[in-house]
Amino acid sequence: MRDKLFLLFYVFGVFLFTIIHDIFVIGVFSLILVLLSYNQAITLIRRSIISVLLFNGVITVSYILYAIFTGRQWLEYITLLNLRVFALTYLTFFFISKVNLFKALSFSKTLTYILILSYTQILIFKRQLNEFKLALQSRLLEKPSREDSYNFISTIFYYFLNKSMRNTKEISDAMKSRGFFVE
Amino acid sequence: METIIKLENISYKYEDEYVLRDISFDVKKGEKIVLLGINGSGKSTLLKIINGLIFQQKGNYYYKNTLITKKLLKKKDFVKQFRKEVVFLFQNPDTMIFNPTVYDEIAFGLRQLQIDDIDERVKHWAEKLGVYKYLDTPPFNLSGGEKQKVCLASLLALEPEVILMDEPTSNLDPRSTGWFIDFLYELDITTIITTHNLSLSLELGERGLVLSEDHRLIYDGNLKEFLNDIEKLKEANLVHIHKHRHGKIEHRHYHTHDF
Repeated sequence: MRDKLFLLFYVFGVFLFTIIHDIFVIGVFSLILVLLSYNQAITLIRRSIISVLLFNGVITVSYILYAIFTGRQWLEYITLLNLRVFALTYLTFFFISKVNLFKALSFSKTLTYILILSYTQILIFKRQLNEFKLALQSRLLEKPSREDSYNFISTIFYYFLNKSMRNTKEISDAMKSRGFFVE
Repeated sequence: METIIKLENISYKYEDEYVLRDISFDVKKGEKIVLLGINGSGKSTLLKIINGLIFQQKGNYYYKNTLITKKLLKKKDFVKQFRKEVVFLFQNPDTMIFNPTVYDEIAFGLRQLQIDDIDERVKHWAEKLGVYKYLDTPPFNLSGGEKQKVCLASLLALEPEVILMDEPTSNLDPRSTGWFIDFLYELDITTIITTHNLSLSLELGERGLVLSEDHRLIYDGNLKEFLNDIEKLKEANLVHIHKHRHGKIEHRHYHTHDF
């Protein structure tokens, strides 16, 4: 029951942070959220900032440059955007750290299956990505050249894309065989 | 014979769970060692420690009497020498392959050494491993067995002193496994090979190291003797029990064969 209540709290939080457009109100709610997660606050703040830094950084810089060239105001919009993304990310990490997702979604068989499938894939991919990194490390006698790094990254991208497509087909066939997707 | 690898009371934990407990053994130059254990017993982790990819929380690992530490493996000169001398064949060859052609894959390590006879060495090892005809082909399109051969050629081209192989036959069909056994027999370097295939193990080396389900080293010695010791085999969970029939007689006992 506790996990389902947390899920409800999370969905409500996402809704709230999406519909509110007042920086002060989002700021207050974010502060409440940080206080609620008191002993995890520093870890969650760090994790949230790292997660959004690159994506939001690019958008922020691009928007500021665009606003400067077109003579628009940017401070309020950029602050609101970054605060909202941070609050949503923080809320998500807080939710995941507190809740057993399997229990929270146990009210729906389909959602539980989807979660199990996704979780299994994440674990497999995580392990394989680590093996890729170790295999490269094992073969590196010196710092890799730019070309080697490019080859390595593109290979991983191709491998996982290919594997995802193959796995998706296999999983969907297996689900069909077990009675899913029947109209 | 000179000791090339020495492990003293190595323990490794992953997320508070033991993967290896108090492992000690040493390896003499030129030895061919078979590391046996069921899935999850810690075989791959042990190879990764020996290859300096991960580091134990307890114990010491010496390579040629040098204590291997994280700090030492950040020193450029040492890394270059260590990675040339101790090579690792991963279980899944896909994780090792990333160059545009088989030629580039085999030449990858050699180019880092900046030696003169790269072309000659690439062709020599490609020929020896039977992948010469694929030199201009992207390695991604090859079969599992062929990829394994390309990876082996890439590692052996460095002329290493120690080769670590993680379940090298798991991607091979019976014919390629036969080829691999012959190839290994002629290979004159120190090898540590993991497997859980008992019937194959005797073909891979004479000395066996056996990890138990609780991640301890429970046997270090002659492999043939281990395979005749049913109590040890049971302890390592490397035997299975099932019913089988001889005509009308049905009985049940331990088996060491693979399915």
